[in-house]
Amino acid sequence: MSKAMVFDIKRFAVHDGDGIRTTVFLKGCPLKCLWCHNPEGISPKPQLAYYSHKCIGCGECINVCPQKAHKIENGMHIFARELCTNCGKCERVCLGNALKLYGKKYTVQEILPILLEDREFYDNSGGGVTISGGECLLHADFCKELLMELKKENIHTAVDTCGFVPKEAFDKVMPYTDIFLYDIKAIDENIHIKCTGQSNKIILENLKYIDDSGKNIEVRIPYVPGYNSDEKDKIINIIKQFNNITKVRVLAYHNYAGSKYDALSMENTLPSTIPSDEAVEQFQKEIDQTLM
Amino acid sequence: MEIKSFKHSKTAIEDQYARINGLVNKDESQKLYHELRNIYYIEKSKQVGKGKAIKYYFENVRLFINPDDIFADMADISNTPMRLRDEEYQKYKKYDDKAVAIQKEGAFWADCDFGHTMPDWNVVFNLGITGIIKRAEQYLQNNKLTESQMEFYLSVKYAYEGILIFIKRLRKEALAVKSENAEFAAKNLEALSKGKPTTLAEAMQLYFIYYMAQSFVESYNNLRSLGALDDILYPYYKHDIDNGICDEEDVRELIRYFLFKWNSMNITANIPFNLCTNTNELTYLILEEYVNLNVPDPKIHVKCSAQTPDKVYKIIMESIRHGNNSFVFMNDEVIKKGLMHIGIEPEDAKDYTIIGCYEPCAAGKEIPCTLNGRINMPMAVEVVLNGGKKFNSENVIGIDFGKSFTSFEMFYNAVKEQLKVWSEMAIREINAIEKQYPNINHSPVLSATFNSCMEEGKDVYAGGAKYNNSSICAFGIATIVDELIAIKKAVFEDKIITLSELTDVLKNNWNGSEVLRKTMQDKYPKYGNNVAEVDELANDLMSYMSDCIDNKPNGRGGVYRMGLFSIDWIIDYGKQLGASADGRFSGEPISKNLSASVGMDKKGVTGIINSVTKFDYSLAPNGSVLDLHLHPAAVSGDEGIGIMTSLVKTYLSKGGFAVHINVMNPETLKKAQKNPEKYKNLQVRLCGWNVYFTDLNVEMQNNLIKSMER
Repeated sequence: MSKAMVFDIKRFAVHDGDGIRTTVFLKGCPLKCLWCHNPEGISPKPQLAYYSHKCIGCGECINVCPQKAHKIENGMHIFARELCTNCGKCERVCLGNALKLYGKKYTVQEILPILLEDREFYDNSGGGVTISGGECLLHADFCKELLMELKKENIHTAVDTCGFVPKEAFDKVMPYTDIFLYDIKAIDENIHIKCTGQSNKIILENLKYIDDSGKNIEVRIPYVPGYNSDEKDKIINIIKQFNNITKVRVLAYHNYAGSKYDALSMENTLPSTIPSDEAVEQFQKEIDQTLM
Repeated sequence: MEIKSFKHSKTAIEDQYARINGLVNKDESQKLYHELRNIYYIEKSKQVGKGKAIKYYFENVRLFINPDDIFADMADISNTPMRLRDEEYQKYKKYDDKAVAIQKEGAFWADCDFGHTMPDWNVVFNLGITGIIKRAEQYLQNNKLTESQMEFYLSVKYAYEGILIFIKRLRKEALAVKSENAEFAAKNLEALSKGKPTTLAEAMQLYFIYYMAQSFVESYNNLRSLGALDDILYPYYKHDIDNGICDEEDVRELIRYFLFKWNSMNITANIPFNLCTNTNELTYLILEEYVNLNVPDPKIHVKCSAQTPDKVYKIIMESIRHGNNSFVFMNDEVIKKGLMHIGIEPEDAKDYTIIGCYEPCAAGKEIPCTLNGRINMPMAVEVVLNGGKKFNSENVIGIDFGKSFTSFEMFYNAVKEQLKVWSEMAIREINAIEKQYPNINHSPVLSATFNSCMEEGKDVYAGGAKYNNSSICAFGIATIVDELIAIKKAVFEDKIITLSELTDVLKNNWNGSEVLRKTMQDKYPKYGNNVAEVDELANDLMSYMSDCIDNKPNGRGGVYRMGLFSIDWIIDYGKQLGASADGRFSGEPISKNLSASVGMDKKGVTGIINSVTKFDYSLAPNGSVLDLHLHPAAVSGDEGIGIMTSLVKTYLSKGGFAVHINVMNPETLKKAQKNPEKYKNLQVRLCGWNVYFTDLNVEMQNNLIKSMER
């Protein structure tokens, strides 16, 4: 029985495929996009986040931490991350919800009942379950098992992927996936490397591979001014070449995730410029016209 | 159709009712009341006296015609026979001192409810005013009548003769005004003075005449639904289209005048109607025009079943998203089952109408008195913890169970026992005043529309309706369940505190116990999150309240109906409560309707829907509602309409009773709070009604903002 590290389960997800869905986020990602809004999904390991603005200074964490990673000095909570083993004991007692452990292992059997709770909403809205990340296909065996179980329950399935995984990972999940949500960030290889740390060669090859297999694909393009905004025309040209892209969604970049970087003691790489609503709408419109 | 365009007349109609208030002559008005009062008291029978007083009022009251309105109904309503009811109430009310003292502390509330009725609109429209007079005269010819029957029929005859005179006088004055629109009104009034309506305009005019007679003259603000509007008006619409009297645009114009006039009435209680009993072309015309008018009144109850077309949902969801949320979605199946639970025959339950906020009644068959009583459930926990007293009071308002609770079961049973005692007390108080209804509220206008009243020769308030029921709402379900679960966990399972220590902490309003308060608030499961243990407790408590209230005999030969809604009482009853074990501070509002405590629905909308629909809501036949708050980003685009629709459909298919939706960004509400002048048109669905946000008091505004922030 395979297990995967889950860092979030989002109910009433309405932007991760059609209808009302529950989205499961698996931890670990081969890319490191500068604009990543789920930085807690990048590392494959569990991570304790400390949101200092929520701390009420109760000191409950100090009592339970076996590593003595928490202390209060002069009324200030000091968290020594280097001592932390991410055991999560402090999260359970934290009264201000300032401590949060991202990453808990689930088996398929453990997570399935949670995903089935909202099935009537899926049925009534044409929704279902989406597996996302991080990069969920780093856990291809877990995904395959989970998707199989979901299909047994006749639930619509979506896999949200960055595409930077071996072709074999797609082979595993393909039969049980109704739609792929597939990110395209840039077409120019150098821009892609600059923005994500990796080449897009495999990503575009894999996109062709699933398109050839006849699976439905929803392409998602994060729109980040000054980074991939000049890639617009090239992206549109590429999209034209595929047969099974049923929808393209332009996702407006936002910088709400700043506090997560701080809470995880990660370097905040978020670009500062947010796209205007008009620019996003315009891009979406051009794409919709192309698809028609 | 010879009328001026609605666009032209709109402004002149908007404030017409408010305007006539300024034109009323106070002395003349007082004099009229003095005279009709004499007529009432001279009569040996108050029943006959009320009928005669109504007639005298209509013969003599000063009328007003707005030359821009196509309907006429305005009169000086500052001193109507309605006041006779209030005089009688002062004479006959008698309450138990002990019960009054407990009510003052905010544990429960019990009184009469004359405010929630609806006539049998079929009788009003099928007989017309003249037909109703004729029917009363026919009954009067029977020489075997008892004295009280005779008096009843006479009162109907007099009252309706008065209404007929009202119609004729309005017509005469309308003709004198010399405007296209007043002439149009005069023509319709002429038809109504001769018989029942045949055209759409006549039927609409009759609505206003009848409303005036029942809800301003005989009583006050007590007519609480126009019934199945699309169903009732359909034959007249069809008649007009088939005979070339109206084309579609004419019909739309009539609908605009009609709906806008209701919106312009300055009445304190809402006057809703329902749609979709049998969805037809008129349903869509009404809906589309209503949405275009973008007004908060009248409210609309949408009867939902598997047959309700998606097109109806689409129009309504777009409207709600656009900010006009006068809509409540009602579950046909559960409501009918609920009415049958209190002994209403299936045939009668089928024709239910919602009167007021969410309360169903068997149309033309039931006087349900939907707001007789309220039970403030969370107070039972406070009083059990504190030996029969509130934390901040020395008055004994409950049972002293002592302090030695050895198990949660024992504690919980004490809370239940306390709730039962208060329910019984409320019922006793209501029953006592209800026995006086026949002396207080003679209602020939309303009674004449009830076939059972006419068959038996009995006023509705003398028990003439087929079902003479009463209702009590038990509210604060999330607050009491969250308190109980917190006590169960902290005191009896984790044993982090004893019951008497907790009582001291609560008496001190958590002062110096912030760590404990946060623990109680955040670390124990809460109502509304699909947690089996919590939901089972909620269901057990609601079933128990149903046992305490549903089908208990009332003072008028009927039974009680339990409701689970709280409307805006959450503020005032919250103020009467001390701190509670769920982490709530003293005086803070308690939970609203079926909603989770503010900020505690951590699993979102699907979580709360899954949670609350585990209960069988036919056990709460007086109604319940869930308030859904959605962020605009969650329901944008065409897909958003589908999302909203599927939420409603899922809630109803899982057994919910009623649901309404706010699509609102809490940031917008905060801005509106700061700059009210810029957000005059911002509507929010509050409880049973939608209102302009800026009209709410600050406490209610804050409560709404907090519950949307999550």
